Amino acid sequence: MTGRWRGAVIPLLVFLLWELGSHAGVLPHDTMSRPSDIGGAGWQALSDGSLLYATFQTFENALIGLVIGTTIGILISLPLGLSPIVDAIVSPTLETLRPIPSVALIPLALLLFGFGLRMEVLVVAFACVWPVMVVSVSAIRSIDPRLLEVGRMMEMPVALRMLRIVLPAALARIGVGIRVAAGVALVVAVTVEIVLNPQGLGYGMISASQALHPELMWAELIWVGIVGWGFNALLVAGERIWLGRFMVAGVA
Amino acid sequence: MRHSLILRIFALLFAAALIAIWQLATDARLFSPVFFPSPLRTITALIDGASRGTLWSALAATCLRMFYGWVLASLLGIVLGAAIARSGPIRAYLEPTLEFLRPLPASAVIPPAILFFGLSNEMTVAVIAFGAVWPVLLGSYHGFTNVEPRLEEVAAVHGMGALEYLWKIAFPGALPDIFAGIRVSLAIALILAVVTEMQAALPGLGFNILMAQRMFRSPELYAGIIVLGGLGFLTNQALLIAERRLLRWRTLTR
Amino acid sequence: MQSRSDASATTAKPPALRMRNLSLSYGVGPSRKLILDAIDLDVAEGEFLSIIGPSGCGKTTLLRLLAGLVPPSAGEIFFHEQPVTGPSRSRVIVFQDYGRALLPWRKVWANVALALESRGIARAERRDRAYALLERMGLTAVGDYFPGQLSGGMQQRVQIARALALEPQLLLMDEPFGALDAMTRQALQDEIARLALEQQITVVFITHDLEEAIYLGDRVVALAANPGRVASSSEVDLPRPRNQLTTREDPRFLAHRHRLFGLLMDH
Repeated sequence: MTGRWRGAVIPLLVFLLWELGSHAGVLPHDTMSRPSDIGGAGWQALSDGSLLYATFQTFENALIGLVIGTTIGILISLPLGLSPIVDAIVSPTLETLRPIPSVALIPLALLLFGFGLRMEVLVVAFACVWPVMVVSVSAIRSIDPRLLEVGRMMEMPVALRMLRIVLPAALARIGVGIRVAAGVALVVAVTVEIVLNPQGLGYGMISASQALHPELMWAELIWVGIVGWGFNALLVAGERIWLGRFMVAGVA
Repeated sequence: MRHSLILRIFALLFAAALIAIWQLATDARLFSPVFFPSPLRTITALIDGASRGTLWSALAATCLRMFYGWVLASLLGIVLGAAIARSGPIRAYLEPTLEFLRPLPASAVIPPAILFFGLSNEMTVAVIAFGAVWPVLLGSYHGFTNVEPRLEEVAAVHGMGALEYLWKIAFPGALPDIFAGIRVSLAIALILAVVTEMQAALPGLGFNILMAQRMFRSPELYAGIIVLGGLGFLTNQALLIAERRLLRWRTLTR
Repeated sequence: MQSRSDASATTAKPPALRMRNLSLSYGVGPSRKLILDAIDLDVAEGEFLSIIGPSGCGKTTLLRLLAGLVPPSAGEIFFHEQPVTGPSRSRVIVFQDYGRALLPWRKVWANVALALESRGIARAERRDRAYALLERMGLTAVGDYFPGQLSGGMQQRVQIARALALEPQLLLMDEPFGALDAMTRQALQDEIARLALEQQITVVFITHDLEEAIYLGDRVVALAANPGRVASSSEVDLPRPRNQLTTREDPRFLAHRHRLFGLLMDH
């Protein structure tokens, strides 16, 4: 714990030099706004609620996309994980779709839905399918075959077998895949907004810089950093608790 | 062997069937051709772009952007990762800052990058390097921290200096982890190349598909997406081959 | 038939290795643990010294002290009258875990060449010289393999070849054959005995195998545990070259074995 202060040295130094440099006129004022101005702009945006509303919009888009992508990813993973034959037939097609960069779908999504929530959700969902699918296929593949036989012996219908046996057995690791996808969802959502969707945090930054308000843009960038960092910390902690539960139960 | 061959044929048939259904559905006007152009029209657009050369110049521009950013990110990531792994003070000073920057969506640095570099190629390279550096940095950090301790002693017995140790022992040992990071970085580099092109209206595949959408030329849009997917696939394969050759010692075991 | 310890005893040369009051402990205060307690030991030049002892007697630690990989808490080590302060190419250690001591990404010959590089031998010469050493260890055929492709015995041979490439004056061997099967172990025992005799290298050989210690050594030092200290030191008056069958059946061999066995049991 003794050395913790050293981590703060570089950020503090950067802000200090930044502030002093812009007072001394060394730094161009139209790009490197003073940290004090940035703080003011950030406080203003926070207190008038505009920043919080943009945050809400971004998270709304990211989470809806995450839910849809996760659902699709798990649904695809069930036949792929359970049947090597289905896997061999379908995987090559999926593997050719997977390298498509999610952002390449932005124009397509725009074409289909126009600006707004739905186009952003489509891109986020596409990006979220893959991490969930990959982790969940390998989780399902490693289920003890004995467990699957139990379900068949009990003559459970297929849907019930999936719900009662396959998913619970693979749940611990699917959770890990969802955590990865959640991180991806936020990044992709902000990206779509930066590129062209006029809402949320990403759009806020772009419009601030285009309106020649660099101090607001910097404030929003720092806010995005804090939100991203906090969300990530939340996910890591969530994953630990999630996996901890399974450790106790002894199924992870 | 026969079994797997049959499966492969079925895999091809599956892909072909999907395309055929798409073709039939568009022929039957089940969906609007504005949104879902038929595979034939998409392929025609692709061939047209290739023969007129517009496709190649855009492809080259995107590739170059992605390559510069990725190389910069890789070098930066390897060096930073090694420095943080091997030096306690550097870790103490840098780690918290890096931990804060890492979850920052890479595209969020586009606005400030535009302020500094304008709508230029330098801006795209800077953004790509920032976004793609993290996986390499993490891989390098992991690789350089987990050097076999026995080999540190071997280095000591051979009287190696710090630089010689880094180059002959630590770096080759960290290379598998670095490669894992580098491949993720390459995928990120492609994404950011497309994003920055769209945002800054710089020539390239990303800008092309955005233009295709604005002009409602959906076959070109689809063709562009296919090319981007192909680019992602091929660059990843190329890296995998390079990795397999460079890390041959890992697969060749008794 | 010359016993090498006799040869060194007759000439009044100073010992190659001198340990004086050598001690090592970990931790401080009440949690301090004494590993080695005041070891006084001389090793003559060209001598093959075997060190045996129960597990936990600090024999590996002693070897690491001699290699200069760890500094002693008290006492001194002199190597040819020079105090040992750190590792050196003239005192090379051969580790038991060959799998971790070789560079897995370098081919067998390049692993040997690592030692040549560190001695500043020109690039053009390295390959040939590495192969010359590989030939001596019977490894010519596998020079272009990676270590991971070889059996344990072969890998240990590579490590020995690399050690020899440093042209050391002192070879420190830490249970080098402990992880090998019996046949391989015997073959390597004979090879190391032959090499030590040919090159006139001083060898300190750690083992937990009593027979191996007697078979290889000019002298066997037994350590006692908790804390590690010298329990006994006895000359082995068996002629060289030794033979896996006849030497091991020699009454003198058996007598040594009896005495040392009793000694180890007492502690």
